Amino acid sequence: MLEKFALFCMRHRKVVLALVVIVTAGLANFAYRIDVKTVFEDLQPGSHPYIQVHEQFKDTFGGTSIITFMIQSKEGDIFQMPVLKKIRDLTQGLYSIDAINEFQIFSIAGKKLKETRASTVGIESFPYMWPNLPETQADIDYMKEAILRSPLVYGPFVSKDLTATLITVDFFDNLLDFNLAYEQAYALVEELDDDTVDISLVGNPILYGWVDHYLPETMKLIGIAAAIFLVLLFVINRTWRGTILPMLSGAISAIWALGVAQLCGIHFDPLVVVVAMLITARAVSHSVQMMTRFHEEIDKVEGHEEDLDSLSAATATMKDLLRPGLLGIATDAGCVTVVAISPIPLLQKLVVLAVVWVGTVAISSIIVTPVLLSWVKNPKSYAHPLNLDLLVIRPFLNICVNVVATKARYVVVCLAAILFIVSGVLAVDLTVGDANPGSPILWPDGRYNVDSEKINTQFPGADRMFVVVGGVEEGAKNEFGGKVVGKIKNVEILDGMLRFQQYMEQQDEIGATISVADVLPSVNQTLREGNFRYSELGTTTDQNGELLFMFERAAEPGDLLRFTDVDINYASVVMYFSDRKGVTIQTAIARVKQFIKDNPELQELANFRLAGGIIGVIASVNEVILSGQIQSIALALFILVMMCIIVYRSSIAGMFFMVPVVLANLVTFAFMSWQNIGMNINTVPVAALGIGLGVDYTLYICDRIKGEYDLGKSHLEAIAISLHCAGRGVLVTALVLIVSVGVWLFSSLRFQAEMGMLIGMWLTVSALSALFLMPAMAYIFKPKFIFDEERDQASNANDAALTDSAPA
Amino acid sequence: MSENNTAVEQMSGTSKTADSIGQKIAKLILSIMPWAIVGTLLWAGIFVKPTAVIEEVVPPVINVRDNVFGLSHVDSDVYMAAGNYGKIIISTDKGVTWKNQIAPTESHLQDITSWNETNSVAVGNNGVTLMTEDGGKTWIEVESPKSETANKLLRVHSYPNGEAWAVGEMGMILNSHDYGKTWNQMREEEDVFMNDIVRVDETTLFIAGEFGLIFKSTDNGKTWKDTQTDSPNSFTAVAFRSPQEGVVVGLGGAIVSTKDGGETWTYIKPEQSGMTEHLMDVDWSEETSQWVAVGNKGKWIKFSADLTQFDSRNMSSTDLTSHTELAIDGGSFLSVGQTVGSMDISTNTWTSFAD
Repeated sequence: MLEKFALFCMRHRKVVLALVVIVTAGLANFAYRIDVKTVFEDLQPGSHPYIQVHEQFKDTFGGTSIITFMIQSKEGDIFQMPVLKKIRDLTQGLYSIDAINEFQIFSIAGKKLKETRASTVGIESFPYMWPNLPETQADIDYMKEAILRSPLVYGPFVSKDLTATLITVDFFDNLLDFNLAYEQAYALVEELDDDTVDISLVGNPILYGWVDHYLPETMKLIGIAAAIFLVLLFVINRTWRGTILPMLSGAISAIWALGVAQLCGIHFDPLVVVVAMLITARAVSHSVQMMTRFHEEIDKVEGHEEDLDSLSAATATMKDLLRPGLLGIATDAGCVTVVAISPIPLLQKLVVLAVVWVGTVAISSIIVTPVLLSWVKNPKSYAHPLNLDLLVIRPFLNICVNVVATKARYVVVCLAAILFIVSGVLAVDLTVGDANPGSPILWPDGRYNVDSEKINTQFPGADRMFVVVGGVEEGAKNEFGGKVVGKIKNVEILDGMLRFQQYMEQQDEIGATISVADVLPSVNQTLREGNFRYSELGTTTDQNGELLFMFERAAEPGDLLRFTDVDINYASVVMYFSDRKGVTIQTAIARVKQFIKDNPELQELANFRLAGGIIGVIASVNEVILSGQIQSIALALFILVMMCIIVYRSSIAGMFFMVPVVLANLVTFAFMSWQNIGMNINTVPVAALGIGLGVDYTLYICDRIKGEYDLGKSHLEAIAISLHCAGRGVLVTALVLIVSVGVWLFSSLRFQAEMGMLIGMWLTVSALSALFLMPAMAYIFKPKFIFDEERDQASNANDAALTDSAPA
Repeated sequence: MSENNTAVEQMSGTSKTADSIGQKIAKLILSIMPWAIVGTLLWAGIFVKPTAVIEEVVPPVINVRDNVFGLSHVDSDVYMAAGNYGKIIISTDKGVTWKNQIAPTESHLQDITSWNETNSVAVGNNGVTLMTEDGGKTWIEVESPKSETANKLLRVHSYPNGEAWAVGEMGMILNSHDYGKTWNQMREEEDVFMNDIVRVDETTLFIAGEFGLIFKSTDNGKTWKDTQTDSPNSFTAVAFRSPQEGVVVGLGGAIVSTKDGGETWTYIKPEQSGMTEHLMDVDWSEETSQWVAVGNKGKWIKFSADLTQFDSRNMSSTDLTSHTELAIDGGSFLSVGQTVGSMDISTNTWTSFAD
């Protein structure tokens, strides 16, 4: 059937080509217009309970788009006129940034942070320096005292050593444009940064702004990688077709995939550019296999008219490589599909993109390349005389053959087994979530991460998670038909919140926690003449209601909204984290759950719910990734095994092809755990793709061994032929790809550099196992799906002769 | 994945020889093995959920949020302290490191006092009274008289032969003679706060009260006479260096003193002492011959016996936390509150512990 299909394509090669050209032209039109951006909501697993809590309360208790400025005085504390003026200017400058939520500006120069004091009329509250700056030194001293008195300001917003203050602002998510926010925020910083103050800036919009900022550089790197690629292909293949055709297949499948994605309304996230590279690399790889095989066929057919040579050689090539090629593509697509089980939209969209992309490789490489090759005029001419085949490639492949033919094959298998065990042990330590403080997307010495570290040393932490407490059913009526008053004022709930906060703060990475329960002891203390022994909650629910009422009366409408909802049915406990490391977040989440478990009565009353804010969102993503980690790898392997079993009609085939994949995976995971690269949303698709892609090389080699063996060659002959043909394709593509992937090591985005390194690693391990390990294993174990049993006896004699002569 | 290796190894067996029984078994295993692996993969794919790595958190003895209200110098290097949520801690190295004890209450404890290394009592919110007879290994809550209105006990002090005095809200004065096992109410309930109590000789006791009131008893607490001093502020602590000479401090930096056993009291205005913050506790330092007092926002003050020289200071430029009690230890004192630390009285050096 494969043969019929190949013949059909070749017979109608003009129609096929025309169709491909038309479709490509059409899709190019769409691909050109694809949106390149990061949509933060896409990173959230919508069905996860944390995300539901986050979505319900993010507008009240703080979303994921908060940006934080830190103004640090270069000399002395912040309580001096020039610094205070900077604080004021920055706070007012925030209004020039688009899409900010002006009700969520927190600054000592804003009107949300206030001092509360007792007076003859009860409790009053005043902004510290809004709308006007203090005028005299006495005013400044008074303000300083007032700030020191307030635990809600001193610590969270003014650093303990008084040299720095935080200004935070949230955005309306639906209006937010990361790039614009990034530009405007940095413009504001540049305007105010001088020799009196040092301004640091962090937050998700800024982070993703940086990713976009490096987009031109990313494009440049793609260009450089492509150029290196072309040059290497030209040098090695020595023909223009050998250079241009693989590139052309890569380009065609990229255009098709991006065009289809645009039609499906999927945008292109700059963070997945590595995945795109990986798939393009496969397209190229298949194409090079075709090319190598084509040249071999050309060498076989002699004496005919040249055009006919090309056509028959191309047909033979296509016919023989259809099975390993299509199987390789099917496993790639099948394995990456598994990632779609994850409830994260980014990954689901990525799967659609990746499956389409991989699928198009079937057309661009497996059909288009041989079809175009069939028109080659002078198949035996070369563009330059440097023959690397003779100098490097053939000697290297001879080594591979010799390894199989000699006892060295046992050494290879043993080494692989040792590598298996060692990397298996190391891989166990692979962390989920970020393994280092700061953002793993950027380098530690990048401005963003430097700023982040500065803020986290001065303050409890810039990243927040909130836990929601309480919950009276909406619209509930009391016995008189009135609205139910929120039960947050309940003394047991408030006390529970304080105990919860104390419990959570025991973890070092949680610098501080804030809730409405923190407001009340200070109001209580103020009412009790400032006696510190009364820095505690009211003893009854009524008293607490009273305290809250006093605070509200003194505050402006909405001031309590950082702590509770309008009806005081829900309250938040906000925790400030000094880092986003996976283990930090997991520990915090586990401790929240432990607290709930230890206080069942309180939970019944107060209903603590996880979790919102940026840390809550990351926690949900990490949980999803963790729970899907084994799932996706196991299912991807399952698909791979089943496909091999079905295609080769042998259960042993499934086991056999699992070896290089599992080895490549383990080595990469071990490397990640050694280099402290965490498994996160960005690495998961790469890992799943790796499973499918890791098998491609081996498929070509083994399929060729089988083909030659079926033609009557001995075991070793078949292996030697396969290594010199399919093996050449493997070696060339691996070499070219590893070098061009190396370009990413110079990326300003740490994530891209790390992924480049991982892919390089993957390719190396897959290629080496395809060239050394798998032929050795095939020869040692002689699985029936490669070496058909019926003609086993005949070839043994030939082998004996070859084995003896090979070492010489 | 090691099964995979074994499967392949067994494969090698089959291809070389034939016919033996072992060979047949190997073949059987070989045909089952791949499917077993496939099954395992499917099972793992559907059911296996890895567990998250979690770091163990060892809570510090004194948390950031802990307020330590009461302090007692037990014996040489041994101190005990009590605080919020029934916290009782003990130090055997002058307060540098502490160990938790387990109290049978979640109420905030306001004060603690000890007769010796085995007998101590602690009092606090909701009128809770605790005692131990084994150095704090076990704490027992004991019955004590309570008011129907408010029951916060604020201070407790111990005297020889198992005698203890505790005071609190609603004019509560409690007395025990059996190391805190039983307590008697020594005055009728009244809406006045009793903030501190001290015994100065065999019959005389003084109490620091609200709004400038000082109570005195000369019959071991059976009857009480109140004196309104010139201070408009509430008092928080009282201490005597001799039966005649005593000092009372209070909110807003209030200081009053007597040189005649409490017959007359002299009010030192804040302008005179330079102290405007609340003072929460006072004591006499024999070694430096000075009164020392601690209070809110990291303030402390030392002043001479004749109340002519005042030295009002901050504990440190950055530690602006409130302190409620102090215990003199030679030339320095240990102080508790939002933070725990030690102050060298002569050099004014503050060392913070257990942060």
